[in-house]
Amino acid sequence: MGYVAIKGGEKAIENSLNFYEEILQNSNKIDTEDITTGLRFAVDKVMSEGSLYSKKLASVAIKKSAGDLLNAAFFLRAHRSSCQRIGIAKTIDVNEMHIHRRISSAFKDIQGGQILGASNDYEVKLILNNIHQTKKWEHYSSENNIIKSALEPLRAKNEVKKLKADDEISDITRVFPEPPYPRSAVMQTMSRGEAGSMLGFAYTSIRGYGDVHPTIGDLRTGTCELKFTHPFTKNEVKIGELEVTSCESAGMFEKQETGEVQLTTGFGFCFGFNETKAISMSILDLSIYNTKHSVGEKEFASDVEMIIHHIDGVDSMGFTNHFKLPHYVTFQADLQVFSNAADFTKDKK
Amino acid sequence: MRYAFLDEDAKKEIRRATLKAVAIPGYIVSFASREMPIARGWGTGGIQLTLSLIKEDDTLKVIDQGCDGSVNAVNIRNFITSVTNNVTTTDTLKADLIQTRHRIPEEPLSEGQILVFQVPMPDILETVEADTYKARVMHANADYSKLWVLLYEDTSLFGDSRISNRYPVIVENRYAMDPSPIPKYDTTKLGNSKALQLFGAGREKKIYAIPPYSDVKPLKFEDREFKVENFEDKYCKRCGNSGVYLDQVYDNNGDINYFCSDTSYCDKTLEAKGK
Repeated sequence: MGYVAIKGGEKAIENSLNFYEEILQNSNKIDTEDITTGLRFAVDKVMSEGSLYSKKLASVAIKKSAGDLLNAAFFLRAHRSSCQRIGIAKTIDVNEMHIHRRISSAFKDIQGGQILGASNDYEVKLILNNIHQTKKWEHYSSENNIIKSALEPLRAKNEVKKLKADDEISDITRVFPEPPYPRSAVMQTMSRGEAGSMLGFAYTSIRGYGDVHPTIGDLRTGTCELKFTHPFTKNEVKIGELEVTSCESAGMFEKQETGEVQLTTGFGFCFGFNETKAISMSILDLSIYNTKHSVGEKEFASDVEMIIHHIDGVDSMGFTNHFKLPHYVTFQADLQVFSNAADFTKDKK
Repeated sequence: MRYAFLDEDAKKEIRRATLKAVAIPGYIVSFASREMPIARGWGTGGIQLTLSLIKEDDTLKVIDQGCDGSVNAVNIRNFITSVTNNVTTTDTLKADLIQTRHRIPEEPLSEGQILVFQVPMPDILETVEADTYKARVMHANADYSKLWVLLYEDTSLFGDSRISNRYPVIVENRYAMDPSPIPKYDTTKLGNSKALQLFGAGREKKIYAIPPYSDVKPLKFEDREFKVENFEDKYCKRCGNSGVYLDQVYDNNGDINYFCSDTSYCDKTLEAKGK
């Protein structure tokens, strides 16, 4: 009888998890280290969306979710939630990044040069193509390779629009702000947003529902030093290094209140190497803070409400999946309202 | 692991938001909302409220669709007891704290009890206004005209509101509030309740409240009846109860049977009959 099935939740969950363990047993055969080194972009995506910089935990999370990266990020977030917050590190300046790769599509030649680094951009996507596997690569070290953004010369000439920085930096994990949202909160939300969702929204603004055709001023991946004020000595100490991606996109120029005509820019930043996400974020930033260049009635990417509430992978995945939960009571109510409405319209005919 | 999972800062923040919510019945209070090891949209707002409220000697009841044995209720109850070791019950009358999704128990609650609702969409204005900033201004001005227009349009087209659950209510003659997806049958129990009713939306990071003995009315036209779900002539096949909210269940022959949605009440009725 149906009733018994409904009440058997405890046993059903237990059995379901036991079944699932069979899938996990196969994942557990993979060495965590192999995931960290072998699936680095998956690990980076999970760290970024999980909002916790730990390659090891991200790799464990990927294993624990058998490669479901949305779930892996969820594992990291849940863990992050139980970590104590010690303090706020010094702001990272991506101009001081030890560069692994850095390109600009705005200028043919830039100070420090175009550094293609390790990239599959120009790989011909043939599954059986292994032409580069046996070749030696040119020696390169990011050690002393610190170059400022390719847009810095324009900035030095005051040709780049500068947004006012927040007086106080938000921490969206401690206080979620009310609208109008501080810029730091918007940027934090995007930096831990789900890469695919952000790509989708950014794509709307460059394809049919916006007027953003950005030029990538400076896209870089590399290592940034994380500095922290020592709680006892009060000295600034380096506590680690982060692999990050940042992107600065240039958009349309506009006339400022001061009368100057300046170039608008957008900024993207995320943990790990994820160029698609950093570019998407820079486009969203450009769209949100320079709405006057959007065209058409329907705008998605320039609507901060649209972006801030819909790009979080843990939120959107959780809610979309909640439809799997029982809805017997509400569906019963739906059916009654439906039946009343059907009677009403029948009577009216 | 610390008692009730959340760190003390998180509990403090949630309690402050809760106090503010109780002080302004029906008003939506933002809070940071920690990520839980249970998915967003699966009751994390209710869980955070429960974890911030629960004391060592509290007896806990968790239901989903009125049922203590439903998968989601089981999962949430197991999680909460694993981090608190508190005593649980299925008996509505013996519980200090009741966390619920989609139902209010059949048996009337009493003073001192707290009913915690899991909320998917905390702002009723989301039905008519997607922009949360605009919605805040509308709440500030008690401007619920868009809800009235929606009600009017539905009434003219279908004879009644098309909203079957999470039916808008007006709390203390001031704030329009989303009562969470309870059926209209339960909407009438929200007002003048002896228990404190708290609402938590984890994903949307919001808390609101109906303090005991508050005035809560469904949004409806004066000359229209507020029609709740009708189970006339139907009774629970298991305990024989009628006049309660029933689940419609198809058996293997395709025949429809009805059973109590509130399974604890169903058990009690059976017990009273000496079966």
